[in-house]
Amino acid sequence: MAATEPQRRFEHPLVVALRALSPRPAPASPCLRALTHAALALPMLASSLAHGSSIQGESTLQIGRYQEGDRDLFGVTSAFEPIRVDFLEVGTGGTVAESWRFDLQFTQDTWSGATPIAIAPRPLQGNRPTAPDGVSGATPFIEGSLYFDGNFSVLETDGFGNWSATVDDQLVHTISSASPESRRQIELSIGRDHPFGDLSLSGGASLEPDFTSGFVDIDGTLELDAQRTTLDFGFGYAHGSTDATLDHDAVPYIDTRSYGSQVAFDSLGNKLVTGTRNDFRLRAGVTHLLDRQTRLEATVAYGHAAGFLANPYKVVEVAFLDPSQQFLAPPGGYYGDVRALLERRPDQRNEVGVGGRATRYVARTDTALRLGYAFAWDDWGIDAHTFDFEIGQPLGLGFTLSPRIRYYSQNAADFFYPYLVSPQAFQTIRFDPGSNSVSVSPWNPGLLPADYSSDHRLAGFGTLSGGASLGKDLGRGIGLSFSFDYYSRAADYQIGGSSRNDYMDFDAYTISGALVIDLAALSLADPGGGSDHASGAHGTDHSAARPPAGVMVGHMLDRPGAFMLGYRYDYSLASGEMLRSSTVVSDQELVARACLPELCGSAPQEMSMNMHMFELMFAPTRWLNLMIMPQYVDMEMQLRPLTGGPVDVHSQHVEHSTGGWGDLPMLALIRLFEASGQHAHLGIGVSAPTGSVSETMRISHQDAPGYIHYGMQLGSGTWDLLPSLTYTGQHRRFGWGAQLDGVIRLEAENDSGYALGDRIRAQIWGGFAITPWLSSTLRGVYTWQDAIHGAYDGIHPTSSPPDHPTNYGGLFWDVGFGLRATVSEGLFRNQSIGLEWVQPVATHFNGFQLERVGSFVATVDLSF
Amino acid sequence: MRLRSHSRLVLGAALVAWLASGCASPPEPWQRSAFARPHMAPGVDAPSKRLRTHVFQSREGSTPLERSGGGGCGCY
Repeated sequence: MAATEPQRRFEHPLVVALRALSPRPAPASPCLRALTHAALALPMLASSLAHGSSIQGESTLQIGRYQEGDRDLFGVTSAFEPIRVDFLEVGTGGTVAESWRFDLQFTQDTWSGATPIAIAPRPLQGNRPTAPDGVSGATPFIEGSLYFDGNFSVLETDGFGNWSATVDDQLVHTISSASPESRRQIELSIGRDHPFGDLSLSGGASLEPDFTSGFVDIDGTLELDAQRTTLDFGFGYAHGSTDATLDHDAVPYIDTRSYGSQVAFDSLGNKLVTGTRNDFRLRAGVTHLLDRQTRLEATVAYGHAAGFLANPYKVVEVAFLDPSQQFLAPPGGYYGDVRALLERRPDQRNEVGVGGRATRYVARTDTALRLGYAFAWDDWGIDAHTFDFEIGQPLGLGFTLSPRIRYYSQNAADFFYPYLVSPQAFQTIRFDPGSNSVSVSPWNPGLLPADYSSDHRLAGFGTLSGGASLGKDLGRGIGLSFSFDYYSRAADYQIGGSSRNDYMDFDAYTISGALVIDLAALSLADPGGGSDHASGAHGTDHSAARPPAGVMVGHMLDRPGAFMLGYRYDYSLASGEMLRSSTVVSDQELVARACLPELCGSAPQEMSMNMHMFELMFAPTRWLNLMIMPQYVDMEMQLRPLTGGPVDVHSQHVEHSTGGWGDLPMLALIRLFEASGQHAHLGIGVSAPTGSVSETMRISHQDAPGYIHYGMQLGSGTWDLLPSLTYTGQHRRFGWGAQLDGVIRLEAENDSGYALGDRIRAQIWGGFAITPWLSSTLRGVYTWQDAIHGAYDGIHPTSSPPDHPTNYGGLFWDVGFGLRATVSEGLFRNQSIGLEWVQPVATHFNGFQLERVGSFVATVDLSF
Repeated sequence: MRLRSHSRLVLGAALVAWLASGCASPPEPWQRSAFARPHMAPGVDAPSKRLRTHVFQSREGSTPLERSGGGGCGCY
């Protein structure tokens, strides 16, 4: 070995890696062979020790927010809130059998706010600086008139067609807004570990109202040269479908004729742009341990995209210099008839990226330094450079601080144009006196570039971002981290850039928090195992001892100092007929009676709600448990026009969706009784009004309709009292229980002028343990919900039943069918998974409401 | 696909740096304790990195080194 060391020291790692792939002669003696095998085994052992165990598993919960700052609209104050995106990520995974592992991840982004739809010279006044209130908030102008001098410099105007000789070439984004919209993605990965590498197959789907995609990835690694070198590779394919509804207000002003058959109309007259795309991606990389403290990584990737690659919500302003209109031009100049054309991009894109990263350990300070660079280029003409640097520094007491900085620069795509000028008419109308016919000739595509986009992401710019993560190891395999990053985009950050394009500059910040649970470490930290859930479970606990998934605060923790982390997903759907109490009503009755004193113009057709709740429970003592339950909710509603009703343009053409953080329940559970497999506890708490009650409908038709339907606000807006009384019991393989709970509003009205009705609910259930770890449950639920008190104190639509407080609440009977699995051993020990479908049985609505279909509840909780 | 001159320069420098890396001494298995430190792991702080990457993908024009999966329209 010693004789070969000096030679290998001067060999390139790639040469070493290639040699590792070729057959080697066996060591000369059995002793040397044994030593060689021992040495080769060490890195695998080290790897296992680094992760605590050869069996690995991890659960992750992350929430975050991206918030942009206001954009400079050069003299106009926008009433639109800047873009905001709320992120949610829940994942779990681990070893499920020898060498096999799985990962399941759910992510959701909900975004809302102002977004640029075009770029125009300021004199076009796209953001409506002449709005009566002096604040731009209504639908922007995307067509109008521009006056050019002889050098095609734009001349200042007063907004009423009067130009002056002063040049005003300032470009500005034209801003529009949209209702909150959510994207959900689920991904499952299955992989197999091998001593010399691993292979994984993952697939998933990403769903949003206007774009869906399915994807599959194959990734693998190959360890070489006693794990000094690792090759990794990946292949990915994604298929996406665009089904975008153009803004109803903007439809008359957006020219889509170049899209031909990709443009269609739905039954409500909304204009749709459709298309599909396919993305392929190949990636290969190598990681090499350079010396005792340095790791080098290099990656090369190729991507090919084909199909509809344009953004269906971005337009390009084109000033058509119609010869027949030049009598309007300034002397020696030109008059431009400005029209908005839906952007066009090439139907193919080929990208190549190469990147490298060096990670260096500084032993003296226990510091990790990471320096990375990537370069990418494509056939759209974009070259991009990315530099990043990060430091990982343990601070003691389980804290690790990781500050970082990143720089990015790209030049513009070949087809990026802030706006275009074309020497032709937008359309030419010809009259034939002989036949009395009229013909319309549209603009000639040959006089425009083949592709054109004003999307600011295809412009030349640079970004500078910096931030830090602070991680805390809480012990027992629990890790918590908080991250903050500030992101600044500027035209003059671009390599070779200038401040001329600074109208696209903006800044933003991202803040996030993540909880990471190392399931293997948790298992080691709690070797006793077993469930910590009470419900009279001592010694004979099985899955039937836990209440069904739909029962909240239905159990307590036994052991003082114990924690429980839970995730609850609740999906509910209402769809079908409109009911008055429990009777189907006709459109005519709805028109006449459901919106009194006015006539109804529309009614809900479908409404869905998704709730993600995180349950954090702590047992300071055996008789007292404390809970806090932050929740994220989003809702969507589709309406339909009512036969015989007045035209309701807002309801029929505008998206009805909301999303964001809801109210925050905080509870104390007090153990009342515990004996002979029976248990009772009292719950008392409050719900803090952290959810918004001021969500509004999207501005359209040149005005703001105001507050959205009551049922689509994110919270109650009032402090609410949450009392509950729960009893559970079990005997042999049977479990049972009952709960009485309520929501009592502690305030007469919220900041928007109303209060939701009180709610009282009684439920009873039974469970049977099919196996020691799996049980089935049956639950009966009675709910009384009062109607809304008070009413919105501001402008809001009144043309649909859910706009009226009396059309809320009622009496409901439901039956729940559930399954619960409780894992008692192995990596996922102490985890409990519950599923339940809740089927409406009887409904007696207050007023006029949409028929209920049911709800689905899934819970995952982990106690430790 | 064409490369601009400064891009070629950076790419060449990276290649030279990588070739030069062959002159160092790779560590034996028992000399790798530094790589077992949690903050040296390649996937350290993975959740927040995923979130940042998603932000970059929706705000910048070129991120070919990232995986293909999902990502959404990014139309905003």
